[in-house]
Amino acid sequence: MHIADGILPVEVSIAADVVAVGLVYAGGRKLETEEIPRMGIFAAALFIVSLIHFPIGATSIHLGLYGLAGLLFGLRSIPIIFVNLLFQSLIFQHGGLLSVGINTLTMGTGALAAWGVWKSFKFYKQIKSFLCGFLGILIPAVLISVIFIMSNYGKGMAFIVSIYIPAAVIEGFLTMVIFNYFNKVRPEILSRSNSRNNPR
Amino acid sequence: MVKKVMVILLLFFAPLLFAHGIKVTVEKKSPFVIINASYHGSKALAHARVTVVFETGKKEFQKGNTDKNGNFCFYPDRVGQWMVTVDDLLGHRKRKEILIDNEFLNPIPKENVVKPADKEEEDKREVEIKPPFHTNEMCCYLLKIVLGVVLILIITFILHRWKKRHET
Repeated sequence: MHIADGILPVEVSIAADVVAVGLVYAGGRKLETEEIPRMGIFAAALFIVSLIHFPIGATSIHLGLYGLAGLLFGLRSIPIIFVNLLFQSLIFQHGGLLSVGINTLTMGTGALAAWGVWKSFKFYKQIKSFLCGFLGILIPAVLISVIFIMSNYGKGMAFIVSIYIPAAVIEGFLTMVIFNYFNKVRPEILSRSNSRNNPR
Repeated sequence: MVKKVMVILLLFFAPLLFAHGIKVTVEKKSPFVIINASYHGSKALAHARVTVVFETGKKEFQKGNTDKNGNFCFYPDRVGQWMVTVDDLLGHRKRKEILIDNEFLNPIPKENVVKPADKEEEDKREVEIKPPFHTNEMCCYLLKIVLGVVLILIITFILHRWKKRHET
């Protein structure tokens, strides 16, 4: 799901970097001391999980946990995703360095959409958590395919979205399982997330 | 029960852990250059777009696709720096620079030498079948994962200490 350097025009990549830095600042504003370790541990877990891949046909796709990030951290998920993408680019060359901004925006949108679903809809929390995980992958896949179409690149939206649907389903179930686990063992994490998602 | 399910899922998917990112290997067999593209973890990058350019910024020399085993071949016609770009059209792209020297373009012909019988036997024994994802690469990949996690935790620690100091 990472966009490499050279696919998008340089001006677009730089503009996206500027917007992403702004969002990272907005997400990291007025950070409380006790939030930092939670965000750091989640960022480390996200880094490892993003390296779990599934071969689908002629390609391979990966998990992201962006939906879970949005569910737990809200706007604070943007700095977490940004740091992850930066290190993935530097250490593994997954996605370009100049494209970190656009990658942050696409995956961050998935996280924010998950956060929106979590806050707005009132139905069974298990189904909501599944939907958060599902959208956390599907929305970035749709956005990336739109970006590719606009750049006259890629194999079309239908192809890209279709290969990410299995990952979105797996991610949905994984988010639901993790949510159930937190709900049973440490429900205060979820209630803390709900009250502190919004940086004032 | 949930923990057991998660452990089983993790064990099942663990071998796929190292399956991403594009790896491009170059084999020079005068006068041809053979490219092999795969995802890390050995899955061949089939039907990926390959572009060959002689020296950056110049006109495309060749454009094509890898075959179903991730192989692509081209025939350089001059000495210099060649650039090969492999792109799977899903956002993953890898660029490789290949230096072609005079010796490659105009190899000195080897004299016909009759190998002694024991040398032929020795050559047969030396043929080794490398595993698709070499152990060294896997160790390197693991180390990179550990490095990434350690760096993230160090940044977290520094940020936490700085914030705490500012609060007091």
